[in-house]
Order: sequence, then structure tokens, then C-alpha cells
Amino acid sequence: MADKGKHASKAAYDEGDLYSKVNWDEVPDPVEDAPADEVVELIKKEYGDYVIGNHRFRGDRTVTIKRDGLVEIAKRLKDDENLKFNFLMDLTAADYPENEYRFEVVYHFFSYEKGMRLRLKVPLKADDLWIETLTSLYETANWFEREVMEFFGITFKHHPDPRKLFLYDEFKGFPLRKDYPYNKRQPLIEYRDVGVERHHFTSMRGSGTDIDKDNGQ
Amino acid sequence: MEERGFGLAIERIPSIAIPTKLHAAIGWARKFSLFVYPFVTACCGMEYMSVATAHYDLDRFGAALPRFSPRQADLLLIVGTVNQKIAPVLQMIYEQMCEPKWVIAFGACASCGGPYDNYAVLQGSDLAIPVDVYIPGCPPRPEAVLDGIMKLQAKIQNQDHTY
Repeated sequence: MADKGKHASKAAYDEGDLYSKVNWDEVPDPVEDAPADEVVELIKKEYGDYVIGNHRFRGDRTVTIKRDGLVEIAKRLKDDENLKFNFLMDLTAADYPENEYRFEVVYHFFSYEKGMRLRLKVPLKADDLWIETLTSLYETANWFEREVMEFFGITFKHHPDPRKLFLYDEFKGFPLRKDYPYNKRQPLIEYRDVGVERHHFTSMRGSGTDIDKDNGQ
Repeated sequence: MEERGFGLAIERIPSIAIPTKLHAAIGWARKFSLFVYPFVTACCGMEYMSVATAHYDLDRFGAALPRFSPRQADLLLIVGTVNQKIAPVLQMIYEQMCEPKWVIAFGACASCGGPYDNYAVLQGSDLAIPVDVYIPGCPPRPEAVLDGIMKLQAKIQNQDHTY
């Protein structure tokens, strides 16, 4: 069954063209008999229309799904008596500027009762950047989604409280995107003149000096 | 009897009078009565606790009593990373303190941003408010903090004081 799963996933990747650069046959998987592959099989069987691909890396299972199926699948994962993924451990996003689907929202679920983990990934295009909120299922998604919203600019539709969480309201742009200059600062105060340019001895990489000059530092 | 009393007065005067300048006397008084406001934002706070409590005992320098109101404090300790978001708060706290007042940047982050050269961190708290003493270290050893306090005391001793 494990072999069958592997081949199926390889085909699915090629079909979805999301991970074509990675040869997953070469990725070591020390946990050959990891339990609960049936979770993946169940999702593939019942929500096959939404599944783009899946893989297993060092015993952790990942299913890549389409945006439209997220809430439905998450609700099933939470409510199913045999799964009970009752803990949303983490919700974050990743930015792959070279991909057609530039952003990926990543959900980490954990089942206390079964001791299983499952990762859901939802790829999104840069020009169609929204996803449904999971706050109706998991309270903890609230702040995670606010964080992803302000740092990646991904809209979570029907979020009950879509304010910024960490940054200030005056902040423009999304600092965890790859195209945001890593040290572009947006100060709220007027800097005092201290006679030196600080980034010269704080930056190990030596770039970004023009950006600081723009900010009057 | 009169001669004896006169002689006693002459003998006593030199032993109770201390020749000094008023500025030096005020500086001496102020440097040993620092009231600290700890503006603790990050992990350096642990080191501040170590300095302030019995092992290293800031009380020996007259700076023992943290006042958690800036209006009652005259030494602002910026302990930890100062973000762009909290920089206006730091400025407001500094403005709320009564004169005379001094500022110590405690640790690498407060001094120059430390390892954080990114979108969020102010590259040194002196970009927001004037700083008297910078204590390097990530975090600084308590001995380094005591050294910084002593440097500040030397500065206060030699300042021109208003009164």
C-alpha cells in the first residue's frame, strides 16, 4: 500500500505541476510504516476533485488541495470520529516568487486522540489572493490568519476581526514577501541625528543602504 | 572659661566644614539617588532582574528602587529591543520624566539594533531619544551594567546642574 501511495503521489505532483523540480523518490523517508496513511487515502477518495497532490516526508503527511475544498475537508477532519483532528497547531504561508501559484497557505493539524499529524497546503495565485477563514472551526485560526494577512497580504474571507495583529496601521506593504526589501523601515517617529549611519555596522550583508537613506536614516 | 570656649570653637570648625562647590555637592547627591524606570521590552530584562536583586544589588549604587511611573523616575533604562511600533511610546515616556533625567541603553539592541537589521527594529534607541550611556552585550553581564551605572555616576558628578 505504501508503494502504491508513493506512485500515486508522484503522478499527482506531475499533474499539478507544483513540485516538478523535486524528485521525491530521492527524498529519504525513514518512517516506512507510518500510521494513518488512510487519512490521505480518505481525502483522496472522498474529496478527489479538490486534491492536487500529496506526499510524505520523514513520516509527516502533506496533502495539497484546492482552495474551494478547504473548509469542507477541514470540517471532516475535525468531526470524523476516526480522525478527530481537534487541534490546529499552526497556520502560516510561504512565498515562492518563481511559481505560477506564488503563495501557499499551510495548515498543521494534530489529533490528540489518535496522535496523528496532517499538513494541508493550499496554493494561491498572486492575482487571486484570497482564501476562506477557518475561524468557524478553530478559534485559534483567528490570530494566525491575522498574522498571515498582514505579513503576506492574503485575504481571509469572512474573518471576524481582520485588523492587523503585530504591525502598526501605518505600515505599507507585506514584509514577509520575498520582494519586500528585508530592512526597509517605515518609522513612526522622526529620527534624531546621531551622526552615523547605523546599517553600516549592523548589516552583515551590506545591502539595502539606499533604502535606509530614503527613510532619512 | 571664655578662652576655653573660644578655643573649642576654633578647633571644631575645620572638622565639620567640607570645602566644595555647589555643583559638585548637588552632583554627589544626585548620583547616589537614582530612581530607575525600567523600560523592559525583551530578554535583557532577565539580566536587569539579576542586576537589581540581591546578587549584584544595584542598591549599593543608590539606584535600587524601580519606579513604575516615569514621573517619579530620573533614570530611564531601555532594556531590550526597541521596535518601530513602540518607539513613539518610548518618546512619550521620556517626555513624561521630570528633569533632571538620564538614559541608559541596556544591551546591544537598545544601543544599535543588535542583530536585528530588518523592517521592524529601530537601529538604536538614540534615534528616538538622547542616550547618556550605552552598555554593550547580548545580554550584558551584570558587571557590565554596574560599570555602566558607575560611568553614569561619574558623568552626573561632573555635570552642570540646574536646581
